[in-house]
Amino acid sequence: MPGKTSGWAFALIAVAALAIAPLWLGTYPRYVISVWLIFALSAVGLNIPIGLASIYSFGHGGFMLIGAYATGVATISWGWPLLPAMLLAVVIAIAVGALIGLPSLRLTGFSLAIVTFAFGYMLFHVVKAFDLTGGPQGLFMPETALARAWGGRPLYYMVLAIFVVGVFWAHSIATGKTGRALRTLGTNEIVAQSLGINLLRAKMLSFMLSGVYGAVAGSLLALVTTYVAPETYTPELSINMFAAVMIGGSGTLVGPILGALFIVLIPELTQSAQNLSEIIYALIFCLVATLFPSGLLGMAKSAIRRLRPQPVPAAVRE
Amino acid sequence: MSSQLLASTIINGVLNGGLYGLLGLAIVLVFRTTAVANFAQGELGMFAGFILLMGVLPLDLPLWLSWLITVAVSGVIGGAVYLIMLRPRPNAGHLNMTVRTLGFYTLIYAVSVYAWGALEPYRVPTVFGPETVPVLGFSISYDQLGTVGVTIIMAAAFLLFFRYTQLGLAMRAVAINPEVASLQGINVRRIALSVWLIAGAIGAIVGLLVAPISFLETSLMRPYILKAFTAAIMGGLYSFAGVLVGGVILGVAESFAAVAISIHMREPFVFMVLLLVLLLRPAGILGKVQRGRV
Repeated sequence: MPGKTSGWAFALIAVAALAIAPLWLGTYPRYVISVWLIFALSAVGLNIPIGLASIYSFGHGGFMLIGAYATGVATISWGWPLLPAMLLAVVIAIAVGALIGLPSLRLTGFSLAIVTFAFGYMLFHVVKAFDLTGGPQGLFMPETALARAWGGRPLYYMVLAIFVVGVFWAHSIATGKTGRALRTLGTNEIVAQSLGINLLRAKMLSFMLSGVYGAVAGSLLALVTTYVAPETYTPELSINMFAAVMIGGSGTLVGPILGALFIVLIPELTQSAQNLSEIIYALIFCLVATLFPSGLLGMAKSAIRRLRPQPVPAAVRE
Repeated sequence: MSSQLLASTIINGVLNGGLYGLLGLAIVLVFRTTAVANFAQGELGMFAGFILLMGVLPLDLPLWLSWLITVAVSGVIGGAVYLIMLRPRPNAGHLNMTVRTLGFYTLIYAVSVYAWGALEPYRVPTVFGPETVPVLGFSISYDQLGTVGVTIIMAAAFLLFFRYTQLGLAMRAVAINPEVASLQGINVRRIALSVWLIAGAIGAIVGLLVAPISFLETSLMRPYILKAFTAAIMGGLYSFAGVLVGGVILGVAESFAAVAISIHMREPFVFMVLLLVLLLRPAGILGKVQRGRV
């Protein structure tokens, strides 16, 4: 959405609101917003292969798992400080992203989607099997200074800062050379090739970039929830991330952020309905997917278009 | 590895692999005719287990009749999913359709957990009886024999159905090219509806075969769905026989991985088999390479 003046103004107001809000908000709302921002960051990254290159990745939860577990193992077992641990997570995610991107030239969209799905599924079982990763129990993160000081607000601001940087980076990727190349190959691979785009490099790059976003989001999630459990990073997480991008509106900047709000907020809001909460979430999920194929953003846009007075053709005015 | 262990490993693998193949068959059918990857295929089977246990068995009918009723009900559910969730806004694109099946997958799971999750797991009676037969020094249960039998019958019925019946041929025509098929007078929407009916019924059959062997719980089909997809891809996505072959290869491979390496490596091994097959034969075991067209 930024690019037009109104878009930039909207982004600025939103960031300012998110920056001021925690001064008054209690621990719980701050926690929910942090989790939303983390999932939004992750979804913005997943939008790079899905929204730009039309490559369907069902393994994004796997990257988040890498981020969370690399941060957890490096800080707890090896005693690393936080920053190098997060860097390690990013480096692993880039390597794994490249690996997943490798067979992308040989496979059709559906097969590649299942390979990514299987990748997330495999990682989920691998971390449960090894002692280093805490087995089925997972790892408990020690409380960091960021979470202790000033009621945990420094951690919130760190999440917000990384989120803002991530969104602007994604915006510059989408509007820059890489984004144009990915969109071209997403529309027609043969045309893209004839324009001199290296398909393998571009596809691998889209997986590597989404991997960076997923890993950073995962390691932030480990810090905010203070615990890394295999049950958080099930194949369902990948499916939810995919749903977030699609429900919000793929190929746009704001869509995935809205979609993440959907998957984080609705379960929280319907918590009072207890057991029914999951059913309500699933029903809304089905309704949005069926009735608004272009996602929440598309739905909002068409609603605005309907509310605005239609310009009257000149011939009628006279 | 003793010969006894070897034989039981192979039999276990073939047993599971047949079920992956059968479920994969339904996935390929839906994918070929409607270009939708049906993520809810496994959950249809889980739900059928609960329909049998909660809805049909209390009626006190003969067990085989209860089975048939459950399979029919599940088929109707499959058809209803198509009519309610996939028929509206048909021009939304295949990806959105796939997201809708994800939505249904979430919904059916949430409903099952809400209704029956608290008391799981449940024991489901088997139609084949509890006896075992000794074969070559180890015992095979009637359950296992029955499962293999039903799988083989279903697979054969499927292959014959697509070769010799009008509906089956129409489905293949739609799979190859929906536009040309509709020009030849085939009602593509009706074909899609019947495909979903069949998918619901197959889901139920697989669910009812799995439920008595392991216990019935809401996560019953979770391990099966990915492997069914994997079997479908190993088979090349376009060949019904290939899916079954892919399923059996996958089942035997993971069965050996569990015995020879470690039980924990069983699931990761699936990924490795998938990657290996795709690296060696990207178009699947029985698939033909399709060239891109400008």
